[in-house]
Amino acid sequence: MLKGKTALITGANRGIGEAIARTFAKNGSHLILVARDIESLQKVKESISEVEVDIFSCDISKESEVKALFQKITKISKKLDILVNNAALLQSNLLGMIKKDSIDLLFQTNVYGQIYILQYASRMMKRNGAGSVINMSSIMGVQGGKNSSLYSATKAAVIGLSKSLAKELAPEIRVNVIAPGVVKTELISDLSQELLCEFENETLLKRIATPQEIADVALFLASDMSRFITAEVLNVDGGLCLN
Amino acid sequence: MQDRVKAVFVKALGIDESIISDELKYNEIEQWDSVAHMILIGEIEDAFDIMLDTDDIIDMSSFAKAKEIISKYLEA
Repeated sequence: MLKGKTALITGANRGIGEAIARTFAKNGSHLILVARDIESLQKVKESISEVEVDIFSCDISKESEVKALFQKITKISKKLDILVNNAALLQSNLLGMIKKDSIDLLFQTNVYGQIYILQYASRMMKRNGAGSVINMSSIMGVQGGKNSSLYSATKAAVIGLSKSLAKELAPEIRVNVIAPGVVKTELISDLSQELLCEFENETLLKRIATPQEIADVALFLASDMSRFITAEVLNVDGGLCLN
Repeated sequence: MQDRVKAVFVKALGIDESIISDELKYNEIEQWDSVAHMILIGEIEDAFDIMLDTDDIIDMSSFAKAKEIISKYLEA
C-alpha cells in the first residue's frame, strides 16, 4: 500500500511508533525513523529487513535539533510522502501539583515538537505537491482525562493544530489525527492493575488496544485508501469515549 | 547571484522579471501573498540547496532582503 513512499515517524523506537514503522515496512515504505534514544532505534532498524531504513537521533522539543535533522534528511531524500508525528510524553498530575517545569516539558515535546517537525516536513511535501500527515493525539485530548489535565491540554492542542493545518495545507497535503484510547505500551506501565481493569470495563470492547491496532489505522490514513479524508480525528479507543 | 534569485522569484511567484527590483516587497503585489511566500521559500531552498531558519523566512520581506539572506547561507 505504501510502495515507493517515504515516511518519517517520530518516537519510532518503541510502542505505537515502532508498530507503525513495522507496519509501514511491510507495506513497502522507505522509513526515516526518529527518536531521542538512538540505541533502541538501531534495534528497530536491525529488525526490519523489508525496506530501506534510516535512523536519526533528535530531541524534537529543540528547534535547532529539528533543523539539523531535516538538513540530514534532505541529503538522503528529496521527497517526503508521509509524516507520523508520534513522539510524546505522558504525565499524570493533579492540578494543584503541576509544576511549571512539567508544563514546559509536556508542551515542548507534545506540541512545540510537532510544530517544529511540521514546519520542515510540510515544506518537503509542498514541493512534491502531495503528502499525508498523521498527528497523534489521545482520547484525553478529545474528552479530557482524570488527573491528566496537562497531558489532555497538549493533546487537545494537537487537534486544533491539525484541523488548522488541514485548511492551510490543502489541497496537496492531508492532515489527520489519531486519538487512541488506552494502548498496551510502556507509557502505561506505571498504571495500577486496578486502573487498567477500570479502563477495560469502561471500554465498550472490554479491553485495551494493542499498538498494532493503532498502526493499522495509521496505515489507512497514510495510504491512498483515505485519499478523501482530511481534518479528521479518528478515535481508536474501542468505544471508551462513549462512557 | 542576483539573476538566480530573480529566476526563482519569477518561477515561484509567476511574475514578470521586469517588475523585480530591490524594492519589490512582500504583500505589496497580489502574487506575493503568504501562500506564495511559502512556495517561494521552497523554490529558494531547492535552487540554492539551503534550509532557511524560521526567523529568516519571516524576515524575507523584500527582494533585496531575500538576496541578503541567501548570501548569508551561501557564505556560511
